[in-house]
Amino acid sequence: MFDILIVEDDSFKLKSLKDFLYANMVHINIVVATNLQNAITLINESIFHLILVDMAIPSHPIESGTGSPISLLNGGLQVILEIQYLDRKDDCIVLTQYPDVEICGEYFPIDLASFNIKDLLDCTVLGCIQYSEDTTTWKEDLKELLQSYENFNS
Amino acid sequence: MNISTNTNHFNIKKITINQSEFLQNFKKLDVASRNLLRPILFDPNQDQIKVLNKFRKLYDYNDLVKIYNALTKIEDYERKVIPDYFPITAQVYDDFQRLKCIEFKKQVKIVELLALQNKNKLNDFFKKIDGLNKLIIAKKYKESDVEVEKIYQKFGYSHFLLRKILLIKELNDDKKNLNFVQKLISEYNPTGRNLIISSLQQCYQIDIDYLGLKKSIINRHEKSMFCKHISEIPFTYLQSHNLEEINEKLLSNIQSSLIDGLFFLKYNNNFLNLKYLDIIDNLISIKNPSIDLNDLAKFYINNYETDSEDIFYKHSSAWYEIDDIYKYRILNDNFYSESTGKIEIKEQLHIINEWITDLSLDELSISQSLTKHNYSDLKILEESGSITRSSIFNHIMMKNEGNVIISLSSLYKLMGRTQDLSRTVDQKYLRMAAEKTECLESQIIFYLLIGKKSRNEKDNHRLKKYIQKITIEKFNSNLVDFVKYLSTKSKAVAEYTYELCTEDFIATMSQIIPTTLKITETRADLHTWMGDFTGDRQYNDRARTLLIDHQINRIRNEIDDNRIYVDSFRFNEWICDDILREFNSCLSSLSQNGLLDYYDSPQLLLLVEKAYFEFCNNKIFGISSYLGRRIRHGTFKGHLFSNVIIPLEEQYEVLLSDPSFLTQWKIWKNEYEKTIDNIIRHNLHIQSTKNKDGLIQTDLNSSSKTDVAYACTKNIISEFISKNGTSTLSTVIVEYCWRLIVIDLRNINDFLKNQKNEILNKAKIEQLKISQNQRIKELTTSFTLELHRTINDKFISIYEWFKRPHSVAPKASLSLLFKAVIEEVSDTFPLFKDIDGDNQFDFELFGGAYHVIYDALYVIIYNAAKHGKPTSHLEKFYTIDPSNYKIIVSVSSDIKDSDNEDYINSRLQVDQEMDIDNAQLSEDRSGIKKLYHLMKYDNNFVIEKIECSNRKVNIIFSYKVLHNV
Repeated sequence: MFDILIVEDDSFKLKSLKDFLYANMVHINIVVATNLQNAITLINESIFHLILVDMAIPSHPIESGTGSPISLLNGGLQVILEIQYLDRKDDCIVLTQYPDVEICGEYFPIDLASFNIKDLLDCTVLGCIQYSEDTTTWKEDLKELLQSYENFNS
Repeated sequence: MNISTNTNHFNIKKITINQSEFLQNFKKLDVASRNLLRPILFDPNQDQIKVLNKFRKLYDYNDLVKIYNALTKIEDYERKVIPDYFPITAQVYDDFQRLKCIEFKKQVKIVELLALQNKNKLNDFFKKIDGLNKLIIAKKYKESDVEVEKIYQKFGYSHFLLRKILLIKELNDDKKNLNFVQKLISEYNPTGRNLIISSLQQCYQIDIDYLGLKKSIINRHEKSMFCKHISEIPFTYLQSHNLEEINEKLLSNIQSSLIDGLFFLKYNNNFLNLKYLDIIDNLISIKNPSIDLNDLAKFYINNYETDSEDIFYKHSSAWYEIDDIYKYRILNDNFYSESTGKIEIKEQLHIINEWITDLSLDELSISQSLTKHNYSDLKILEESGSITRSSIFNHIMMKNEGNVIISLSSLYKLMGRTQDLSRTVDQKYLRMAAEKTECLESQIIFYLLIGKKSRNEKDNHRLKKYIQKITIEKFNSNLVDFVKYLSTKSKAVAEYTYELCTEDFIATMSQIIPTTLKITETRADLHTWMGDFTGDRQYNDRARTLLIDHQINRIRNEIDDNRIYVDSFRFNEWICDDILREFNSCLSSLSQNGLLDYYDSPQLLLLVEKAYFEFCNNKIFGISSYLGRRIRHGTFKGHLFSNVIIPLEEQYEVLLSDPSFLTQWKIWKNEYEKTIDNIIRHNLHIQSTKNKDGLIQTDLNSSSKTDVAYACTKNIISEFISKNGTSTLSTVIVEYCWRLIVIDLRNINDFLKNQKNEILNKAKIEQLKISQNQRIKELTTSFTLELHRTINDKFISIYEWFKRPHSVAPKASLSLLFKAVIEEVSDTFPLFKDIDGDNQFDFELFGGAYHVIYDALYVIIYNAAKHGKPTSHLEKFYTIDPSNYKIIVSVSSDIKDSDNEDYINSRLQVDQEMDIDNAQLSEDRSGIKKLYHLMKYDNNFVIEKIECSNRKVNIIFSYKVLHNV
């Protein structure tokens, strides 16, 4: 099985991603984390072949009566840094709805973000893609990154 | 030409010139120079600066001095083109058009010639300064005030003298005693907005964050080069490292006064090493000075029990003329300084190496001799303080590029004997030091120093991983236990860790903080630990506050999915770096002028508006960034459009196969999408010229916002008075910014409600039902119902996004407080039942108010449950007294049948002050004395009535609020 972790809190985006992956890849097992805590726990429990990570995520699951989790605008970076700290090589792709990514207190355009993540944080990601409900460009970009996998239906 | 000859002054088109002196100097010029000078003097239409610049370029320094001598005789201030050598008015505003710099050597020669020309006056001046210094050291501040006035009258203004003046003001406890000093400040800085005076005044204040102030002055974008250069003097002994800048700064210093120009050259010659400055150096030295660096050090040791080195360093710019002080300053200016870039210190390293002892880090932690000089008292000052030790720590780190070896025990010791390392040490050296050691605790200490300032996510992640590792392995995943352990090793490290572990910080320690609730609990436990550790009950109160909020959240039992947030750590940093100094100036000035009771200070309001603007607009930490990333980009549309349309279309495939319905549906869907897009494009923004329909407005012009802003200024003033400074202002500013944004968020939700109604407009939805086919008709009805329900649900959940997070500025209604208290009391007395129905009115309370009321209600209800009639029902009533801004709460409960009223009344009264103070110690938080304690220490809380009559205990209390939304 090809294990995929999707770190995403927006249900509509999650559905689109899942639909896309099921349509284009075979033998996949998708696990979902809707918040950072959840993602870090899953990463520490299992190795994934691929991690699709959103940038802006909440710190914890939302539960009634326990207060609000913290909004982490670049919480996705914590996921990538965790992989690096564990000295693992799980493939990561950033999928954000924003045209730029904040790294070290600066914003970098999405097409340069992979380079800057490597340069400033010493982490490797396969790519950074801007997700949009209105276009299918993200699908093309994602296809390009996934086509090297054997289980990808080209 | 209208020349009046009947006085000793003549007027030429508004120019007043001292005739005899002018003619004397004018005649010394050759004919060509006189001709060139005439347009400056007699033709107001001429570009005087252009002509003067031409002079300065063409003439040699001898001729230029002659020209200056003539020009300085212009007495009409408006027409002066050359500043006076010994100005009679304080040069704290930029009154002159800036001249172009000339060759540095020529400029120095001019200054030298002017100094020689005024040799006797300068000698006299420095003798007087020596006398003044003696008076200051002897703490004769009233006499110093008289003497400084005499010096001012005779030798005019200089920044040099201003430093003495403001030092006297700061040292003297009885400010009213200083007539001249007070008069000068009132005259030149009545509003507190004069940069040169205010920044210097703040620099000498004991409690000021010196590094923050220095940063804000050095990084300030100031239009006037003169004001910028002069305001930097107290913060950097050596003003620059390149000749071009030195030349510009020399020009500014000369504009301030000849004395400042001369001193500027003297200071910088330590770096310039210009031989031709010997004459100047000789001219402005105090011969056989009455006090030396050792006397000064002794003065500060004797005068201040704590922080004496810290205060000495802050004040040292008032003593620049003292021999060798520059060596002390060069070390600390370079190494006790926020690293804002690469510091060119090669030339100064020699001075520093000659000054400090060569130590390893292990030696530094215990050494009593940090420096090589023979000033014994200065050695004591340095040893007992932490500025020099911090500088040497940073120096060692730089020298070794972080390749240092230090034992853990020395590192713990050093952390307690240094200060502000997180702000002053280069992070790359700390990273290297952490890499070099295999000791996890040492790594944590190095990363703690990095973590506070680093913007690099990797640093923060590493720190959190290390803390989690040790906490899991050795402290059973309990962060508080780890901090407790740290406190046994180093108070400083433990307290620093406590400070760093805010809710935001611990929220991303996913392994030891698995739930949102755990964030609150851990932070509350940390507060409690800090309260117990320091004996400061404020921390325990903070813990209590968090737990009250948790209890309220539990009762509220709502899903809290707000997406509007502000990174409070970074906003606080912005406040400290960019605006606190202005608040300080404004409040100090209001205080000096006795206007602190005058709450409507427009200046304070403007500052609040400025802070709110940043709170909303800052691209990194502000509302706009969360609005953009968490709402506008994708999420809003995905939630309201994709999440509505896609499931519906999947569910009603059959209906959509009907062509007539499909056509109508496409029309409706397009219109719906357009509405959503328009909201995103035009409304979910901060209002600006680019986004005119943005729903968040950063001005404070609406009446509701003005009301909050006034309350904010009131609160700022009361904090400034009660804390005697600005140390707590940032908390007030953050809290009120949240209160202001609440108004905008409410407007957003009102707007969204209107939009929802528009979308679900019955007539528009009805258009979908045009088919005559019965089956399609039925399906369409079901479809529209589902559409209606889904959109309604989605909007309801979206309203939650635009709410203030409870964690940052909590609030609660009075009825909720009652419910939460009763729930908590029921934990102890399970049989205790709820009270009568809800009050007709309800009030929302913010911040401190509801925590106090919660505590008061807890005491009252707990006692009713414990001592009252078991079957009794509480009677509650609350109202508001709008004219006095008071909330009045009344609670009554039946007494037990076996109790008598006299006995109960005796229990309800507390007379002894001591008893009230002991309430915190001898009783837990339920004792009735606690109620009196609340009244004693919170002026807003008043027990209006407390008695037992008609077999009931009746308690009425009031709480005065500043403002309510």
